[in-house]
Order: sequence, then structure tokens, then C-alpha cells
Amino acid sequence: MSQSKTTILVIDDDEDFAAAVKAILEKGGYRALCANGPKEGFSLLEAEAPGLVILDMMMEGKGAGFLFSRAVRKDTRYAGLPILMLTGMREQTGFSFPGRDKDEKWLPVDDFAEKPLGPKELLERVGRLLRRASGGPASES
Amino acid sequence: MRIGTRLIAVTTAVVILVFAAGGLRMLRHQEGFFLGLEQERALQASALIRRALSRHMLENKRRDLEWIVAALGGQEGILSLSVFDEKGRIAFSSRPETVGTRVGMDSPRCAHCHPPGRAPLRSAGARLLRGSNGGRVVTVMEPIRNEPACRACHPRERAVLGTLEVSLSFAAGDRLLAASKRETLLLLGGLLLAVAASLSLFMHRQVGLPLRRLREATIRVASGDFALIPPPGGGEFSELSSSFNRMTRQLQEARSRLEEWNRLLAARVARATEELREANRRLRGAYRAKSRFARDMAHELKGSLAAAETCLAAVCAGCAEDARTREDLIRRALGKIRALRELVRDLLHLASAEETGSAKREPLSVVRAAAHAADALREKAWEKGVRLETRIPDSLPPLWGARLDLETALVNLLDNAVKYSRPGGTVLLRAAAEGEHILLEVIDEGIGIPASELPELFHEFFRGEAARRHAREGTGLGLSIVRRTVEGLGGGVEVSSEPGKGSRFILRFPIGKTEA
Repeated sequence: MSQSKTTILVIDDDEDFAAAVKAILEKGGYRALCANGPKEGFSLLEAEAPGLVILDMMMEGKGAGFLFSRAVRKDTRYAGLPILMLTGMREQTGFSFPGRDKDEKWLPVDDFAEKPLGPKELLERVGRLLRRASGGPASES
Repeated sequence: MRIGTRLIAVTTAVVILVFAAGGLRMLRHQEGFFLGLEQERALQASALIRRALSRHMLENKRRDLEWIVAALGGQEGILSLSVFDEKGRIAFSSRPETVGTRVGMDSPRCAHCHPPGRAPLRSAGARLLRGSNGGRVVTVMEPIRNEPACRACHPRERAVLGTLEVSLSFAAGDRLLAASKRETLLLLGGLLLAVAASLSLFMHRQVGLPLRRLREATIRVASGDFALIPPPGGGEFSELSSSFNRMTRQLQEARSRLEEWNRLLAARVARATEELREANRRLRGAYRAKSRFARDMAHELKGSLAAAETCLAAVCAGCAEDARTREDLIRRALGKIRALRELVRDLLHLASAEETGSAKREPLSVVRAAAHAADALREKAWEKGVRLETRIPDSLPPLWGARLDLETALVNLLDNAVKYSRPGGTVLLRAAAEGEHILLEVIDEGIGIPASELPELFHEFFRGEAARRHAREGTGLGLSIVRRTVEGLGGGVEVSSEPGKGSRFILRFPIGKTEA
């Protein structure tokens, strides 16, 4: 792990989950910041200019993560900012998410994964997204 | 063929038969009468001729006899006149060519008075025969007898001088009869026509017309037109019409009743259908609510498990190198596990609140339940620096329900009140009888609830934004449990709140809602 200290913003209303993700990211050599909702997320996004956002889909009892991702994609200041969406929603709704290439508008995120995500897999996904964002080879293997 | 026509046909046939029989009998009688007259006339003429001839035969004046026979035989109406001698030979005749001709005893002319094997008849009277030209002929044959004085000298065998045969033409009688027959037939035909026409008219008016009216009326009634028919003059058809009208009225009434009953039935079916549709809609709603509840529950469980697992996985993977971070993550995982335990507990409470309807019911002391609930929260309130006050009268009418239900509801409300109060605040539990109700109030001075969140407040897993910010722990099931429990006890729950100032929950139970 020889990356420079890239800042990663973790937006989740479950503080315990966010704290665990933060610990994993810090172990991976990143600087991690936690926000417990979209409002705090936006202010940290502006203030800290993170290199990647890990976003919970279901916040405030609703799909606030959805709205957050769409709002970010509309803002030209954050063009190219990779978003990794985490969710436990598959069980809740019973449907699978369409792929990013298939429906960019519906779910404008770069990757998504179901909670819980093991430390190794989380770090792999984060690394892959960052490499792709910086124009490096985005190994899919 | 209609019955009126049939009746007329049958009656006319009977009249024709009767008239024909009567006419035939009359014609026969007339013919007999005319024949009798003619025969009488022939006998009289024969007697007259016999007397004229007998005198000349006694004196044996042959020339006179020939002259008399020729003269009388030439009279109008007399066809022939002959005298036979004792040997059956024609001695004198108005037709001279037949004189001398012998007629045997076996010929029809003789056999009439001399039946074979029997004594000759004294008088055979006049006979009606068919003449040689086809016309009818009345013939009289009678013996010309010797005078009684002559028998003294002449032998008995000479008692008969000869036999006279007179034939009279019946042509005049036949003409009269034919004319009479024509007249009679004409008269009978006219009479027959008149009687048949009268009968037909009578039948038509008395039977045909009323029957036709009845038939038309039955067709009208069958097609749903219940108009009555005017009764004919009188008699059986009048009674029949009255009966028919009575039946029509009864039919009309029956149909009205049937239509009314149909309308009622249709309305009842429509109502039942609507009720069924409503029940179905409620059932579908309940089913959707259950599915939503199951999804929400799974989400809550999974969220907490995922957080606990990630915390522990981070520790295991050596992500927390310093002891403080390690302890923090383990503490967080423990907190999630405790929250899961609370969630499971609340789920059980919720399930038991749902089953209250079938649970055993008993008189329940409101005073004791309120006191127990307050005692359960006293320590927690004290720890947080919240004052817990109770205002409960010494006695209140009992409620009917499961023992722990009211306590569960009150504990949940008091727990929320303490949780969302600030240190130094006061929570008040108040109970009172008010009119027909028992009121239980839980009043706090806490963070309050925005009006926008009030409609969703009692939904499962709902937690307001301010509530989540203020207290992280909480399953979002407490108020659902309160509502279901209170409704299970036959009561209702109301809430009023002002953000920043506090909330007030009111439980209202009707007094006297006892078990039947």
C-alpha cells in the first residue's frame, strides 16, 4: 500500500458501521472521514475534497443515498469522483440493481456492494476505483 | 279450428240432420196421403163400373158390355179396363187387341189375389204398379159376383161372373207430389239457412266473442300487460271474466312483490359485494403491511448484524492497531448485539400485542399497572437526571385484559418520555376517570415531535429524524407496541406535541367494557 494519503468520505447513518469502515480504510493507508447523513456529507465533500465516497443507500429510513449520488453527479465540481455504494437493500426490495453501464441515470455510482463487506474486499474495491479514476489500469479481475 | 267455429259447424250439422229427417218424413206422409186419395178414387170408380157391368153380364148383353167397356175405358185418367172370365181369359177390354188373351193364375196380376196354395182374397184393394211407360199406375182388381137371388137356380161354382181390372194413371198425382216436394225443399232450405245463420250469430256473440276476448287477454297478461277485460253481459262467461280479472290482479300483485323482492335482493347482493370488496381490500392492505413489516424487520436485523460483523471483522483483520480503537470497535459490536436483543424483545411484544384478542382476559387494576410501570422506569430516570412524577388516584374502575398489556404500553411510553427528555426535565404519569372513560397520560418536557412526523409515528420501525439524533438506541417498534396493546384492550391512543417543548400521549379506555 504505497498510495499517498487519499481522503475517503464514508457517509452512513449507522455510526458503528461507519467507524468499522473507517478503521479498515485507515489500516489500508487512507485518510477516512465519517458523515452520518447527506447534509453532513455535502459539507465534508466541499471542505475536504475526498478522492472517493463510500455511500450507504438507505439513510434516514429512506433512499437518501440515492438522492445524494444523483445530486453529486449533477454537480460539475465533483466530475469523476468515484462513488462506492453499500447497501443491505437487496433483501429489503427483492430486486437486483441494474448495472452502471445499463442505467447511469437511475443509479449513478461506480460500484456497489452489499453489506457486510470484508476488510480485504472493501480495500480491493476502493483501490480499483481509485486506479480507474486516476486513469490507471482498472483491473476487473 | 277455433272452438266457436267448431260449435257453429256442429250445431249447423245437427240442424241440417234434424231438418232433413223432418222433411223426409213430411214428404213420405204427403205421398202416402196422395196415394190413399188416388186409391180411394180408383176403388170408387171400380165399384161404379162393376155395378154397371154386373147388370149387363147377368142379362148376358154382350154388345152392351163391349160398348160400356170401350166407353168407360176411353175416359180421361183410365188407362185400361178389362174383364176376365172364370178361365182367366180377357173377355172384354178397352184395348180390343188384348181380348181373348189368357192370363195364367201364376202371373203377378192374378197372384196378388190368388196367393198360391191359399184361398183367394175377398178384396185386395188398390195396388200401385209401375206402368209400361215408366209412370205409376193404380190398379184395382175385383170379382163381379152373381146376384144372391140368382144363386137359387145357378150352381155355387157360378157365384163369380168375371173379374174386373181397372188401371188408373197416377201421373197427375206424381206431378202434384213433385211440385209439393220442390216447395217443401225450398221452404226447408230457407228455414235451414235462417236457423243456421241465427245460431251462428248467437254462438258468435255468446261464445266466440267472449272466448276471443279472453284469449287476447291471456296473451296480453303473458306479455306483462295487466289491463282488465270488461265482463260480458252475464252468465258463465261473465263469471269466467271476473275470475280471470281476479287472477290478473293477483298476478299483478305477485309480480310487484317479486319485483320488489328482486330489488331488495339486488341491493343486498350489491351491499354484500361491496362489503366483500372492502374486506378484500383491507385484507390485501393487511397483507401488504405484513410484507412491508417483514422487509423492514429484515433490514433492521441485517443492518445491525452487518455493523457488528464489520466491527469484529475489522478487529480480527488487525485494522485497529491501538487498544483504544480496538476496544471502541468491540464496544460498538456489543452495542449492536444488545440492540438486536432489544429488537427481538420488542418483536415478541408486538406479536403478543397482536394476539391480545385471543389471550385470557381478567379484571385489571389500572392503579397497580400504573404504579408498576412507574417503578420500572424510576432508576433510568434517576440516572438521566429526569424527575418522574405520578398522579394516580387511590382507586379507579378496573379494565378487562391480559395482565401485562397495560404495563407494557405504559413502560414503552415512559421509556420514550425519559429517553427524549433533557436532564432536569420532568415526566408525569397521570391517571383519572373522566366521564365514561379512564384516561392515562404520559407528559414530558422533551424534544417533541414535528407535526410532519405525527402521521407516521405509530408505524413499525419509524423513527423521527430528531429522535435518531437525540438517542441512537431504539428499535422504532415501541409506539407500534403501545398502539396495538391499547387497541387490544379496547382503548385508543392520541398524541399532541410541540417540537422543543415536549409531548403528551393520552390513552383513553371506555369504562364498563367488560367481558360478556
